[in-house]
Amino acid sequence: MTATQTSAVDATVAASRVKDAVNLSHIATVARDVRETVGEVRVRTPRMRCTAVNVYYGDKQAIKNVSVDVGQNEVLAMIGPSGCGKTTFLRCLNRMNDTIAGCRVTGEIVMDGEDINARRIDVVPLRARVSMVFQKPNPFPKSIWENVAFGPRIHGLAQDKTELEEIVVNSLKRAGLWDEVKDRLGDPGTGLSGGQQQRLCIARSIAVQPEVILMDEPCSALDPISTARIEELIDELREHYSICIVTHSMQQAARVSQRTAYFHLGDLIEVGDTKQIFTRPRHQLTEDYITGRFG
Amino acid sequence: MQPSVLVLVLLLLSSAAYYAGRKRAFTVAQGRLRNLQSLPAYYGLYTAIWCGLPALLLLAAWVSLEHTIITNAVVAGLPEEIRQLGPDRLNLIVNDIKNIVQGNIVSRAPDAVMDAAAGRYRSLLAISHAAMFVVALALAIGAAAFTLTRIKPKQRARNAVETIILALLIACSTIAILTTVGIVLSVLFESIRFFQAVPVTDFLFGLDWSPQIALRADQAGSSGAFGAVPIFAGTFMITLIAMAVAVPIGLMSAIYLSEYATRQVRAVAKPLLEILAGIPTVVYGFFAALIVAPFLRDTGGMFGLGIASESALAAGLVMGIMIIPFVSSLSDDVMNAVPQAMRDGAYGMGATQSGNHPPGDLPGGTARHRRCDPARGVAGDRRDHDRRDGGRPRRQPHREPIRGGHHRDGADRHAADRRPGVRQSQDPRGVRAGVGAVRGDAGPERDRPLHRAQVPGAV
Amino acid sequence: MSSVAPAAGGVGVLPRRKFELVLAGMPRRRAAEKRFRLYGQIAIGLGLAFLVILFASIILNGYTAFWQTHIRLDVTLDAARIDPQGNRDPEALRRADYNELIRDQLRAMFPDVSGRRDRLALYGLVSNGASFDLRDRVLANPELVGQKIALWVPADDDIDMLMKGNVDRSVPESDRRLKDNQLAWVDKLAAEGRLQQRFNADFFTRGDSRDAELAGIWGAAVGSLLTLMVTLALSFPLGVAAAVYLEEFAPRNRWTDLIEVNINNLAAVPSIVFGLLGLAVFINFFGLPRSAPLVGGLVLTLMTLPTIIIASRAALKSVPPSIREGALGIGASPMQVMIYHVVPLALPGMLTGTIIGMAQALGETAPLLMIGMVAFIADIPKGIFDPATALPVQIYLWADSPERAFVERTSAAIIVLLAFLAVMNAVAVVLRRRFERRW
Ligand SMILES: Nc1ncnc2c1ncn2[C@@H]1O[C@H](COP(=O)(O)OP(=O)(O)OP(=O)(O)O)[C@@H](O)[C@H]1O
Ligand SMILES: [Mg+2]
Repeated sequence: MTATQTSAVDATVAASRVKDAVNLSHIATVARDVRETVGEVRVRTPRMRCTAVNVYYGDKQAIKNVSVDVGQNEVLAMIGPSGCGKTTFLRCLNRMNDTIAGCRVTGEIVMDGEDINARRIDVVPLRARVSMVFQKPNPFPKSIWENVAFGPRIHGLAQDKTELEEIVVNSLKRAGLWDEVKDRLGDPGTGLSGGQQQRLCIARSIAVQPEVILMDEPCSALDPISTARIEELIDELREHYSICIVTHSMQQAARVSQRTAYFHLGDLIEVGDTKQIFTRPRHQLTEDYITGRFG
Repeated sequence: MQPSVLVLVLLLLSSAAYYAGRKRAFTVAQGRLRNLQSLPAYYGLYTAIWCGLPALLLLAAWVSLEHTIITNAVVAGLPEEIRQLGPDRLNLIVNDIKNIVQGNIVSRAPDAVMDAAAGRYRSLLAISHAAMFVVALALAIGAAAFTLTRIKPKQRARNAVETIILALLIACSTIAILTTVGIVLSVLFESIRFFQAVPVTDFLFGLDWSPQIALRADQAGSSGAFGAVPIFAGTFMITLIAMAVAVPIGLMSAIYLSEYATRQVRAVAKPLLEILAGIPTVVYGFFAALIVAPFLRDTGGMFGLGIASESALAAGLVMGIMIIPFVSSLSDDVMNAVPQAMRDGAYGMGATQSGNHPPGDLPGGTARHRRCDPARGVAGDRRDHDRRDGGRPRRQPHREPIRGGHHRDGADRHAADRRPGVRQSQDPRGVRAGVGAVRGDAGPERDRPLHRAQVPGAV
Repeated sequence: MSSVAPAAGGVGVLPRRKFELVLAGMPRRRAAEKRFRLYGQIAIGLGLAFLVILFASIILNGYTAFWQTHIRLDVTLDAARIDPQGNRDPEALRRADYNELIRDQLRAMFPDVSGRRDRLALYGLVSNGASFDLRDRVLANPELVGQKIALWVPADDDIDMLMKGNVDRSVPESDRRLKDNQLAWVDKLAAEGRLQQRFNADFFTRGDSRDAELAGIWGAAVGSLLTLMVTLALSFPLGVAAAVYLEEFAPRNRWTDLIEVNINNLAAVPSIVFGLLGLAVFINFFGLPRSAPLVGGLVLTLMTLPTIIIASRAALKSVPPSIREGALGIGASPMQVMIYHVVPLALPGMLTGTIIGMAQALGETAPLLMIGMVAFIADIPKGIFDPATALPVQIYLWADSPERAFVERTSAAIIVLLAFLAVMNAVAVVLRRRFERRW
């Protein structure tokens, strides 16, 4: 129903005016429902380019028309109040949402000129290129070695044993775990401390030699020292990979990321240079959130 | 050539195909694994499956149909006068022929006709086996060769193999349906045949049961009677007696164990009682005949009652003993299905433990047959079950501290698992659904107090 | 608990008269409570008492079967009679008439027995199997020919029962299976120290027999073993595959629901119905041999599949989803996740369920009756196509035999069966304890 029609209806009897008031307010909510994103959505060298992504859990829309780029060799931080859809969006990037029954993704997520949601894309190699680290450390209940070697093995990344060993050692070194575990590679990965486990999970995901690493609150279960190590690690990893990180800690976002995206109730409210977001937010909601007035 | 040998040969061929496929994948990839879409092993598996599976399926079909077809051919070749015999007699002759073929003992001295038929059977069988051998081998080798030539680096071998495995998994899960269909059909057809011979009304309302059908009319006992009323009555009586034994004992012991008993008593008594459910039925039967029936006869005799050894009393009594654990775990479930809030409410209003019981629990609960949950087959298994429920609230912490711990774990996990939603989406209905498994309806009810308890000051 | 609060707080504001009423009712309610508790204790006591009676009566009836009365005979292995050629040819040794040797010996021990009937009664003291024992002994050691050897042979089951105190001598002779003259001979043998209870190896090494003293459970045990092997070989892979599909891959739709409902229904179908199915499908339709362990195994497979599927699904469910996510997140396919991570972790639970299913199958009689595994089979089955019987069916068969000695053997077979079941369940429990993971 358009505005002109509404004004026409306006002239009629009082009873129908009530009804239209309802309709009007409905339009208003719809209008408020999808918000324009403020800030530079696009970057010059994108690794992944998302356009108009919507995610539905059944009838419920969890992500609304989000467009954003993940740049080459950059860390993109995603912040926002709980339940705003950060995880949901992150999981779109390597199609982990496929595993959830009733979850539907629309829109375009392009990587290397191909829409990753296209039918002919095989998710398995995709997830090797865009690997994921989860909020809770989830090493496999196998040895440390097996944890890291599993990925390269199933993807055929190593031609032989020595190559596999090289990959495992390198991944552990890059994850900053090598010195702590080099004498006990045969021990179960679940026997490590929480922080070590999380670094093991990071090693596991870089062992498949991905191009993008998705991290969903990787430090939420860790102490400050482990957190600092992982932040350092993220900074080093940026050299070779693009990283998307979801975090609830504004300080962390400020420390590790180059760009920051602020989500709110399924909308991408604002995205831009991290320094700018934290010093001069352009959207009222962003400002409320980062100044702690909301969230 | 025996089919089992052929199976072996096919398996060997398949493994050879596996290595050939793998090698071919290496070759087309020029030795670089990264050039391949899937791991070489998948190309090997793909070739092996195409080599073995169609041939094995053909083999299975062939073997299962072969005998029927050959038998028909042999019967068609029998002299006219034999074929004119009734189906029963003909069947006997066919059986004899088969026995001769297999070199078994025959029910009568073989005559020339049967020897000839057996010879024909043998030669047909040999031809059939030879043909099967040739066809299956040709199929296996041809399919493998074709698959090998098609191997390319960009081929999605893993996806293809996984699709085939998935199809096999689906086929396996379909067996349940086939079994049900088989049961229904076999029972149905036999019943139809039975009711063609015996009128339904005779069966349902007849008072005489002496199941015998004479082969010849002049035989002794040719007057079979198929009135099922005595059987129904007997079953009903035995059930009644069994319930009279099992319900009070099972119910009371369940209540006692869950409400009054200390942990130690519970840990000992419950598994012991559950042993009763694991004893084979034939043992109970023997026990009834050997111990219970004579005992009843003798005690009955003391009071001037003539209790026959085959009385329903012994059978019912023993059956009652047998189902005590079933009744007791059933009542345990029923009691656990009573929401904690209701229980607390009852205590809060000053109910004693027993006062709380029969009126509060029984109507609120639901029933579930114990056999539906074999995960509990071993004594003392309930806990796993409870945990799978995602932690069911337990009333008395003193009773089972271990359980308390368990279900706290469970609750945490429950909360944690809900997030990713992977498992969550496949609801636990799976195990629950079905005949008596209607326990799920109490689920939300049970969860609620737990969540409230987690939020401080929620009262 | 908002509903509780007013009630609990209400005690304080209760009118005084009402409060006293409640107090006055307390003793009565406490007494009722006590009575209720007592009922509970009685119920448990009864349940346990039944268990004890059951086990005690079976064991008391059965343990004696592990011993068997043997008679010592001093047999002269007359070379002229068993090896006329004198070349110790095994074939000739096998064909010699050892029965006659034993009879001669019996006649020599009781020279005053005459008349055909009395002689037969005398021969009846010794089991029919004695001559086979003697033959085996000679075949094993041909050097014995020509010597006089002391041979312990099994006594007839009636003698065995007599020696075990199960025969009442005060019953009139006409109602007794052992006649007075036989009793006298037995007493004489006993006095000479020629009767002895020895370990009943035959019971564990022989197949079924019409003679109680020769009847053993080995045939039935092998039959059970073969049947269970078929069952295990089929039901474990099938059950695990079905469980994996339903738990890990199946979309939620009507077909999946149908399968699940079917599985749960099948778990509650009486076992004899599976026997009917087996008879109709495997024997009548596919023409598989009757009484064969193969068919028994197939039927029991169908029977135990629901058990295994349900237990396996429970085991799969208990594998935390975070592990699946972790593997999926680095690009493992669902099938790889299943094969490399989920199934290995769920395997102990699946095995536990399978063992429980196997125990259930081992104790099952009814379906096997329907497919003809109830025939009298004296031979030890050699393969899954041979006619065979199973332990519970053997128990069923023996329980029907009128001889007193079979009561003993039935009980002994039950002891053996229960021992197997106990071991299997114990293994299941241990497996569960050992490998149960807390996530
Ligand atoms: N499996 C699911 N099924 C249905 N709804 C879901 C599912 N997972 C998430 N949601 C809903 O989608 C919305 C976004 O959830 P999401 O997990 O993406 O939030 P989030 O921003 O990651 O929150 P948090 O910071 O707490 O991790 C929420 O409203 C949530 O309830
Ligand atoms: Mg999240």
